[in-house]
Amino acid sequence: MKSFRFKVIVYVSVAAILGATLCWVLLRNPEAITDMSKYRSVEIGTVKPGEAAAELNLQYSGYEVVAENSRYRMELDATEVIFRITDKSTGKIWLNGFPADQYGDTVIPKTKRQLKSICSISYSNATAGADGAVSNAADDVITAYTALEDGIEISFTFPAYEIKASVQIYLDATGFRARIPREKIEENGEYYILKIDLMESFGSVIQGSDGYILYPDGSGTLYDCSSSGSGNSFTQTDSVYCNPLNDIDKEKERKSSGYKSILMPYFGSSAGDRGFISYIEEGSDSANISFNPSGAFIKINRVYPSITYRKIMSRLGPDKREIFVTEKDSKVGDLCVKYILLTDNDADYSGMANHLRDYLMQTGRLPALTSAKKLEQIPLALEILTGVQTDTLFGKKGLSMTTYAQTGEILDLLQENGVDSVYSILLGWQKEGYMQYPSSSTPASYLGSAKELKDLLVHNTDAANKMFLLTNYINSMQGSDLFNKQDDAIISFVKLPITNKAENEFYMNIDRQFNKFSSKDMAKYKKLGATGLAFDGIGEIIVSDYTKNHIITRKDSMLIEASMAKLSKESGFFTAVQIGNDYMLPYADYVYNLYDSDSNLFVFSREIPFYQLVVHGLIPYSCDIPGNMTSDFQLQKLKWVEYGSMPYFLVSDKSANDLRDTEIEDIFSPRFSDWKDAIIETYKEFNQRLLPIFNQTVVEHTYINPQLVEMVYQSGHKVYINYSSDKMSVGSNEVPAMDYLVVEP
Amino acid sequence: MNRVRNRVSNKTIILMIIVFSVINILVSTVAAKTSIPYDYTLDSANNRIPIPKTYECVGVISNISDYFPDEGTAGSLNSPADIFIDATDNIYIADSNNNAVLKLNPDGELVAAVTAANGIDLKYPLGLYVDNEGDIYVADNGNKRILHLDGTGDYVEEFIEPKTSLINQELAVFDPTKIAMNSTNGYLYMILGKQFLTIDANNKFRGFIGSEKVSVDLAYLLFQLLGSETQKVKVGKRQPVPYNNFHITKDNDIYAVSMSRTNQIKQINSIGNNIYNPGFYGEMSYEDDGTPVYPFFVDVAVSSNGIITLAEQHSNKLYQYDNLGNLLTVFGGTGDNKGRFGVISSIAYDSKDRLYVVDSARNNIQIFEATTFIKQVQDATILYNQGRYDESMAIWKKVNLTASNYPNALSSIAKINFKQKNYKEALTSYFEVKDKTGYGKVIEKLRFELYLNHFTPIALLSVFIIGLLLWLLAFLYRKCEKAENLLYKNSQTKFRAFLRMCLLMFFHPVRALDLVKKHRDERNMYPVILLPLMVIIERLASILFTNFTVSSISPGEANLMFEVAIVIIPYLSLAVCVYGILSILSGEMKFYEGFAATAYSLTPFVVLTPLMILVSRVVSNAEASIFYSVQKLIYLWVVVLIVTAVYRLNNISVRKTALVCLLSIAGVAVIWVVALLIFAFTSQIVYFIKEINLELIGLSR
Repeated sequence: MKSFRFKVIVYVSVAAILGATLCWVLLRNPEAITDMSKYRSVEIGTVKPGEAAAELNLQYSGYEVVAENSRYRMELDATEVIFRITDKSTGKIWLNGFPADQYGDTVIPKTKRQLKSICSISYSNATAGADGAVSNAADDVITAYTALEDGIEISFTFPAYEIKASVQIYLDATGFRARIPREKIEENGEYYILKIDLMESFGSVIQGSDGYILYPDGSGTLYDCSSSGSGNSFTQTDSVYCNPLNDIDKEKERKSSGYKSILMPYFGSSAGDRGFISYIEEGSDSANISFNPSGAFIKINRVYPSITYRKIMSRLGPDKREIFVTEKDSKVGDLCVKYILLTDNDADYSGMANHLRDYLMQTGRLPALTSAKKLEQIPLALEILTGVQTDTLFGKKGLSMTTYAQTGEILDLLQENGVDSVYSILLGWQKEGYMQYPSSSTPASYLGSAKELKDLLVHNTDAANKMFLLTNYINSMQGSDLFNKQDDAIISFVKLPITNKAENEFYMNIDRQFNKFSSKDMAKYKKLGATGLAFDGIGEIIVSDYTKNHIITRKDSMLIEASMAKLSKESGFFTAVQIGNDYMLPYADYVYNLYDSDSNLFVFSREIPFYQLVVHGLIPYSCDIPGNMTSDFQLQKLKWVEYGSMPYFLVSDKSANDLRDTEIEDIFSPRFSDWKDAIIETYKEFNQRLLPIFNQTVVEHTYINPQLVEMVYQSGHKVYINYSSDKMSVGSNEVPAMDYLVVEP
Repeated sequence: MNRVRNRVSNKTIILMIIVFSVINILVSTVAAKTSIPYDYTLDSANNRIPIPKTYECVGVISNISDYFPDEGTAGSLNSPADIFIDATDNIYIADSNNNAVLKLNPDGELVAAVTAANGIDLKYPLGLYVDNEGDIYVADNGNKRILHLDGTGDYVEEFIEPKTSLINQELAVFDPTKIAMNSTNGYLYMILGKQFLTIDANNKFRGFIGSEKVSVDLAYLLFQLLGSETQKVKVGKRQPVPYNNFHITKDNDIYAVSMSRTNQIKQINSIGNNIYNPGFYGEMSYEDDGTPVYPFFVDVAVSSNGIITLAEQHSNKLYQYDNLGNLLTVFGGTGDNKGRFGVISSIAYDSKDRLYVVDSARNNIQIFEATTFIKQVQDATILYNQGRYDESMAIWKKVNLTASNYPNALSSIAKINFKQKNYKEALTSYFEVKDKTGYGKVIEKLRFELYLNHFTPIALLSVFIIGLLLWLLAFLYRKCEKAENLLYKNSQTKFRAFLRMCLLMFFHPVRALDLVKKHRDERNMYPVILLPLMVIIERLASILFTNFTVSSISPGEANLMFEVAIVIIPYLSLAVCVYGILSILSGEMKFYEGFAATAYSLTPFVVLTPLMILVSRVVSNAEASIFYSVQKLIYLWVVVLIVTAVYRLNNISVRKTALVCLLSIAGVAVIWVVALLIFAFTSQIVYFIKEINLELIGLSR
């Protein structure tokens, strides 16, 4: 009897505990709905959509004028559904495709039609198990036209799929804009839209012609269309800013393999005396840029944007097989792309950079030339590795690589030797150490006292010297008391936290992190004496969170990151952002770890410093490879010159051998005493030779030959960079081997 | 009774879940990376050491103009299998799936294509060689012949299977894959399984070369002697491991890579002997289920300065060694961008020592150029290996500046400093590179110098210390003699009794054990708790403070929980097993006695370990084996004491003692196996709970 009663008590208790847990899990509301209104002051990329004027009934074969302004005329062939834009002053024409009769018999009709596609939709039908793509040019489609103020809206209805989408094209002073309005997209049946490609063939370049494609991989890259070879078969598609983050391990693997993300959503092409540069003004958070190279049959190279309407992600099923899940409701907005049309001397990548820079400055995406800060010296970019976590017998323990006092000594020594301007970032100053997340705002006691840190920060901050505390509001690791997986970890739309295989690394909800930064951490940084903050990950990674009632889209994430930088700047902190996604540029005082290469993909011919050509002279930056972590320091120095970077080193008091029992894998020569002379010498050299051009914008960048680069600055200075081991002559000038030459105007 | 047992087992499981969950959380590690590009090398313990980039891809040959092997694949290679670069840097490619051989000029432009369209019917060419006159020899695998073409690709002759009874059709088929020519005698060499077949210009068999000796172990011999016919067949005949590829240098040295698990590189001299340093080359890797994967080298290339590069196909990495087998760098890997590969099939150097890597999956050839860093490493290595230490030292210092963690630089600098009698600098470098042998040698030299310079004071001090130790021993022995009489008197506190028992256990274990037995009803918990605790503390101290020259584990690699567990678990499980077995076999020992006797048996370890730590600080490499032997003797002493305890405390025969010991060991093994099973079971539960937890986080949000 007693045992029966005991059993009942046990069962009831267990049932009650389980029930309560389930209720708590299902009914609790972690926080109120995300209030995005506080971030709206940092709007990114909104342009007024075209306004409908009248219905058009176009049935003519041949080109019909549909819009015109003082410089351009847009005509449309309603039979072929091809439009062309003519520069009235020069008579030059840009086409969105090629009429079918321009191809030989080897090209199948479907492909021919795709080459003039304005709108191509990838779809999925889960019920029928069908995936595929339809294009306005290749499939049964009902096309309707509406006149806009300066352009036209073309609506496509695909009856077989019960899908509808529209594209608006309208002229402006420098070219035109193309928009896919979100509100005009309809899905009335069982077919779901996954992706929409916009104007695949606009500005395409024929293989074998004198031209190239500009692709925004890393610092920028070109595909040379002039060779007569063929056989490239793969389309390169990358998400703008960063790939959708589904698996932290894969993301790390990509990074360590050398993949670089798109920092600025531009693309373009040059074909003889015509070219264009495009910029995704709206919807860049969900946009992709694709490069479709010439193949065995189609000798045309195309670069175009698309929008991911619905995300797809994989997860492991019960049988450990990968299953793909499609997002139920689309979260995207409009996609709007600005096309700047270029002719003659402007139709090369330098011209593209110049026009893009002007456009970005006009739209407030870059500081205007007049407001850009002019620096008196070229600062030395110095990252100082202070604290790291090391494995010991008793678990993880802080290891001092450079104490606060030693950091002060390093900076004093540099100053005594004529290094007057240093932008230094303290890595691992917190108690957790470098690359341990989330990072707190508490200094590491094993590096010195808080007072020592304060003295260090105050002592090394003035007009020419800035010191930054490195912060991170993106990454987190299991086991930290600053991170609660239940509330902080972001989840995907399949309702699983985004993590790694070991399930001990996560990304944090950026809205909660913004609140923490604004309400607590900023005051703590002030108290510590900080005058500069460097945001790791912010400006590099954008994450979406599908927490119920708390959804943060990639666009929201961009807004919040930009707001964080803006708040930091407005609160008096000198603000540094990592990598430098372009939406951060209006709020960044300094960009660090900026890519100085592309991803080294097979398909592309040559990396170029396109991003740097756009921003140089407007925002100071340093590139991502420290001079003391390369196999050839002189080569790296030349790259800094070409890419307009500050000289950059990563140092510590101790040597790389002390990092052996830590998780820092790729720092192999940080000891300051080994590099002291090289640092001082490089700083002096840069300031003696390059100071006149450091605050100037770049007007022209040319490869005179594969190993000799010519750069022309706004002031008229020319810089020749010789990467070869032989001296080279340019006119009357001689450029020494593995060196550079600055020629005054 | 069953219910009680069930309840206990449930509790145990829950406890285990908690314990293992905690362990799981404690031991989980997170790899973190910055974005600095790097290659790596391996240290003496095979840890990967990051180093600056050593090779950069400076060009890619993929789309070849005017090459039309097949409609629709214009310009494309199709599974290229081999590459050869002649003295003027013309590039020859065996494009196997296109049944073609290509000749490209140094700029990668097509000069000639040998295809069916040109009247040469190749079938799956897998290898090629070009002689000094520019004639091309093709391993026309599908046609089972070696085809001789002139420099323009026209047919000259063909070599087929030479007539000889020495080719055993069961073991090797004339199936040309990789070929080369000895420039001195003009013989063609081709891989025929485990050896190289040589053919002269008249298609006559000229012998085999390079056959490896077969090692036979005891197990194999036993199977051959005692096994059934089926077993013999199953074990199979011991045969040499086949070669994968080879390269003949200008000096007619053969460098070959084989499928063996060690000694994968061979340098075969003119009389057919391997003169390359034996050893394991490459790295082991493991599948997700723990299955080991041995390196699979598909090709070898030798640079003009004798640097050897191996292509490993599982990882698509390139391993570079010097002529003595020292690893210089590892680079490459699987990936989609330049510098990485789909499937490496062949490699070759050109006259400027640029490395060409053929990728049969991506159908391209990447051209790599050495960076300044690795050029310095190669130069320094060659000079060092030639004995030009001073010259190499200057370059090693540059290497050390670029990568202060580069093991070969540290090691060479240490060795040169040692040779130049700069012992202190050598000591620092040896310590940084964790070279136990080198460090020990320096210690020996420093010690010797110390003796020479301060012989008198050291001799006096040594005499004094030895005298002091002897006196201490004698003093303790006398104390111990008296202690026996004083023990367990009423005036004794339990702690003092415990100390004296320890002393007695050290000098007179039998008497000590008799006393434990005599006073088996007077429980003293000091030995049971303090001695195992001391063992744990000293084990940890030993890890922390034993000199690294004789230390078996570094503090960074040790895990506190594990170290505690390896003391506590054997101690508890052994004590419980001995007691349990003796209870069954009618032993007299009580439960407490078992624990106390086992604990007292640890006394030699407790007493001697601190001394061993001190001694380790001055042990040189030569004395390391003595040090290890003494350590083993201490463990043996502890074991002997435990066995003696079983014997004395139970009044049983020697035979029965042996039986109890064996059964106890078996009992301990059973307990551990059960614990492992529980661990495996709980791991699954923990995994399940983690999965549920993740799902719940999603559900709740």
